[in-house]
Amino acid sequence: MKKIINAIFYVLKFLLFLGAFGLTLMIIVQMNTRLNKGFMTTINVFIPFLLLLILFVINLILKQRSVTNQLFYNITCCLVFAVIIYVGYRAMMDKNMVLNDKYGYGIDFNYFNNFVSYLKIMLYGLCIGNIFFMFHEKEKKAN
Amino acid sequence: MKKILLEYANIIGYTITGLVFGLGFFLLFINFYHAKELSETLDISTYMATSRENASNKLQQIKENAAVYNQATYNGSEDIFNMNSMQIRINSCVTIFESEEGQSFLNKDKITIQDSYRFNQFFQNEVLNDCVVMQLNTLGETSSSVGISSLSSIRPFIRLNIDYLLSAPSYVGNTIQNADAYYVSNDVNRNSIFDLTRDSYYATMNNYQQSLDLLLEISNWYKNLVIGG
Repeated sequence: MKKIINAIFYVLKFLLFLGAFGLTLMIIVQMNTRLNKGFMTTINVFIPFLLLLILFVINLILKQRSVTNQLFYNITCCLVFAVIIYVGYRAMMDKNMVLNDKYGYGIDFNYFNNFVSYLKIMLYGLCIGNIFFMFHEKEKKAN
Repeated sequence: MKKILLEYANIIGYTITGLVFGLGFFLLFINFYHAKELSETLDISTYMATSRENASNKLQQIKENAAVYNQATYNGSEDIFNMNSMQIRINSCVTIFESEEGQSFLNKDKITIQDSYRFNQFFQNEVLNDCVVMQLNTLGETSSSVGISSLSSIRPFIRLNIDYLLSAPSYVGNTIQNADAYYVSNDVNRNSIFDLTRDSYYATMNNYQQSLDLLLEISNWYKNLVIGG
């Protein structure tokens, strides 16, 4: 049962990662376009995404079961990506936002920008957590 | 030794993941709560019934006062160009107050935070800029373009009211704009958005009524000037 739940969250983790990254990219690109700023000025927002992706790939390639089978870690990843998606969704779709109505860009950049620091904290946290979970005692093969 | 270090690494991994879980959980639910708060509709029908009646009576009185002057029948000592100018100024303000947008805010019985903000914006852009600043502000200046001698007697009153009105509404708008941010608690966010919606609407309505009072006083002075000749 635990294996099935873990498998669900493991797959969900990658799907939500793509969604969260795509939404963040879209909002940041539009924000930069509005401000006439180059993409490189906000590259630091995407560094944790990139690090996390590299770690996920390493987990996958090296078959690090101590991480991939870590249910709590997978649930936390899903939660974090779900939060990012929800905040991105609200920035675009919540028409009750006062500044969204005031500026009329269709995206409440101010609201999303407030969230960016939390986004980084959570993603860097997941990266560090992932690294620490990599260290584990090798399972002894059953005789 | 290696085993202990690996145990520690595991503990630290769990701790950091736990902290991230806590932060993510907090942000998810505070966002749900914030979205719900922003979509809240507030019933202010009791308050608005009184405000609506007050504003309607004042506007009626202002229109009657302004209509007392008729260029064709006026025999007073004041210059008719100045008297015409005053009438036009008062009527311009009445038009703003009676505009469809202005009336829509008076006719609301249920409001959201967006309504509060829009009302504040209407007050600042239309009432303050187009009426108070463009039409009435000159009356409060010593070098006024309206050369009616008795204006000097009510000038301090006009000046005082205009100064108050110009400084009053900006904080309300700024406060409402802060409603989009919820992360760090400050004096503004300690009030719930529910209170913010109502209080902002009431604050703007008070300023709105005060603008009408100012216009009413000016129109009363104008009427006395016409009747007194």
